[in-house]
Amino acid sequence: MTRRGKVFLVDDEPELRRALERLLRAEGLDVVGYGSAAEFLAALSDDDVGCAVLDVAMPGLDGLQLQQRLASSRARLAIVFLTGHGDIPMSVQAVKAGAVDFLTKPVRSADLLRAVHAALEQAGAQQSMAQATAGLRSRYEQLTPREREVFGHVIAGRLNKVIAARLGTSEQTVKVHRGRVMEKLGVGSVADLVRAAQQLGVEPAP
Amino acid sequence: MNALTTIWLFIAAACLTLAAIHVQVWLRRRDAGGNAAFALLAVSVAAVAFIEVREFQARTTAEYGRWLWWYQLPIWSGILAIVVFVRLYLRAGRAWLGWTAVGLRSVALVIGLFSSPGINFREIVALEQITLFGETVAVARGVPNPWLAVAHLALLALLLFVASATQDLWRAGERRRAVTIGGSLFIFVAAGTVLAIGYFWGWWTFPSFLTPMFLVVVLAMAYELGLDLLRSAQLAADLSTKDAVLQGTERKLALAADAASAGLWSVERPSGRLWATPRALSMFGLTEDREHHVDEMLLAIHPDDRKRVREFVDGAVRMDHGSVVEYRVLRADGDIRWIASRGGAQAGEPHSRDSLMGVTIDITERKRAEDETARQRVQLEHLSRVATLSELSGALAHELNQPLAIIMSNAEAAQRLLERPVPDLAEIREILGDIVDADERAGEVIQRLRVLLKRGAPKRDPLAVNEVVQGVQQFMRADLLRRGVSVECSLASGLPPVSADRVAIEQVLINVIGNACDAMAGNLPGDRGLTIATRAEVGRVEVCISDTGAGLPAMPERVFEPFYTTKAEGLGMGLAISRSIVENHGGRLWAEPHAGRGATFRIDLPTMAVAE
Repeated sequence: MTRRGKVFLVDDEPELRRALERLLRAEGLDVVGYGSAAEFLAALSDDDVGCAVLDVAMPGLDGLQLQQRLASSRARLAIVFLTGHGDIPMSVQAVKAGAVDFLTKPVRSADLLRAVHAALEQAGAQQSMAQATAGLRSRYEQLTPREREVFGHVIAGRLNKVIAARLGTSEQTVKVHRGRVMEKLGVGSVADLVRAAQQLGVEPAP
Repeated sequence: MNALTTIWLFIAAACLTLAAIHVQVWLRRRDAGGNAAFALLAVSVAAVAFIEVREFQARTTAEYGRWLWWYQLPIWSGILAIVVFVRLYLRAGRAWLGWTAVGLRSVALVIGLFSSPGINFREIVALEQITLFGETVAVARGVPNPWLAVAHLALLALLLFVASATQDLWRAGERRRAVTIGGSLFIFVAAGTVLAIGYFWGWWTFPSFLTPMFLVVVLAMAYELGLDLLRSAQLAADLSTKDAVLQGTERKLALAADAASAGLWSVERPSGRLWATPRALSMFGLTEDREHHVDEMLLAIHPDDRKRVREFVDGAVRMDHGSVVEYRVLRADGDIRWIASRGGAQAGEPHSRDSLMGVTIDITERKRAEDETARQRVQLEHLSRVATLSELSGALAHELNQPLAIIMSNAEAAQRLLERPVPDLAEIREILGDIVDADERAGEVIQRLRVLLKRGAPKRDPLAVNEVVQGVQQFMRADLLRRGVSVECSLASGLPPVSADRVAIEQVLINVIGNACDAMAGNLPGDRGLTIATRAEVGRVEVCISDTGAGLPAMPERVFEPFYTTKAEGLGMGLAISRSIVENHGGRLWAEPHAGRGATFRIDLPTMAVAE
């Protein structure tokens, strides 16, 4: 289980916000409520992780506009929308833009909690994925330029003999470089190596 | 019997006949005092003539004296009759002179009655026989009674009185009467006075007779009175002609009224006797076969309206500002008819001041049409309200959903809290409080919806305009939010209440605000500002709704035309009905374009004090 994120609740209706806060808190979640999009954006920091429960219809910035702003921020938030009346085009737009769920009020607590948990999980997964990528990257940075060259050819699926010919070196030397790369990146197979390259965004050598 | 006696007796008989005629007149018309006085004079003259005949024929001084004693009575009554006649009939002469003459003659009468042979002589010494008109006539010679001067003073006063009356008549332009009556009276009294003075004071031996002179006066008076009788007869003839004409006019009037489906009536006050054309009678279920009383008419009127009509009938309304009363009549067959009566007392006619007359029309059809129009208007307003609400339905669903969502989430939170080993009861209490509040909020929305959807007769209640504006704003909150419209309110404090139907005014505000929102649909989000302001004017309260939208067409009045719409789904009735509602409240609704973009709609309602 990844580290549990916060739930950010944005709704202009104080009574409803209070009720939802109670419900989520009773579930043992860490909840912060905001009365408007602006208030929420002002309080948000880059390393925030969690679930944003947004009311669609709000004075000022509405839920969908807020979603766009959040997409451009560095905080990792999965979004659950709440709306007064189910509006299909709006929900399609919201989900396309990455929302986890689109719920109509009055929402059953089971539905809300399921969506919130899913969102938290998604945010957590993104968070751990990001963390894993960051570790891999620091290891990658320890590779020598020669090792990075060999890495590029390996993930292109070339044999040691071919790589040695390309680099104008011996097959043995390539073998050694290859062993070092796998050691440094902490992978045990070529398949893992390919996945790591994808994660790092390293392109196979031409 | 000879000529003199015959003439004298003939005169007496003629006078008695005239007296009889005028007594008859007086008996029929007690106010004809002139006729009574004339009759008295005529009787007096008859008596004078009779006594004079007796005197002429007297053989002894005693006989003569006896008749001379009686003579005083008709003389007294004749003078009284002349004075009364002149005063009552001619309305002329100095009253004090007349009454002085009567008074002096009365004194002379009293003295004369207690002396023998009367006021004229102390004693009759001898009778002389003279010949007059071929007849032997007795003339008395005696010692004059000094008291006779009183009687002669009376005659003098009478002479002056008659002279003053003649002068009065002459000046008043009644020259014929002055000549006939005044002149004859004057000559008679003057001649009589001279004759009497000369005879009784013994200046000459000539009988004192008054009959012929009296006769002249009687004839002159008879002539005048006869003219009056003739005039009366003429008037009576005229009247009967006019009566016939009047009846004809009445028939024509009734016919005309009938043609106009109107009934004519008049009520005599205070007797309450009713005259009415057959149509008027039939409106009250009455028939022509007998006379009716106004109470029978009132009895046919609906009990709820009776008091009003009674006041109308009793009220001192003058015809020139005749008033109208509308009321219901219950027919024998249970049918209810609406009747309007217009009428009043006749002005300026002394004889008809106490009668109320007027016209009555059956207005049942008009009332039905009015009722139908009012019913249709209410129906139309209701339909438009339903249409408006259906446009708002999304927002209204939200308004209802919101409290339901609050209740649901709170309830489920409470359920979870209760599952804990040690539930936080304080929080649960708070939750329950919030649930109650949310429930009330939902109830209010439903209540408001129900009122708006209800098809009720419009009422007039004292209404605080600000409160209605706030209520509508709350009601439309979700809709305004959904349309991205931000509202700024500037409500004046201390506004006087207006007299209005709350639902109708809410409907107007919803329509006008909705219209303003539609006008701003083309603006960018965040640029849809609506201002609602209230303020007090003299005797009125104004609500201004300003938008920043597309503005008005070239002719702003067009937006109030039915079926004028810029929306694909709009009926175009909202503003038209809104205006009709406001005007029905005695107010105005109009639109003013802004110099830049947008428009202001103004709703102007009379305050309750003014509306009353």
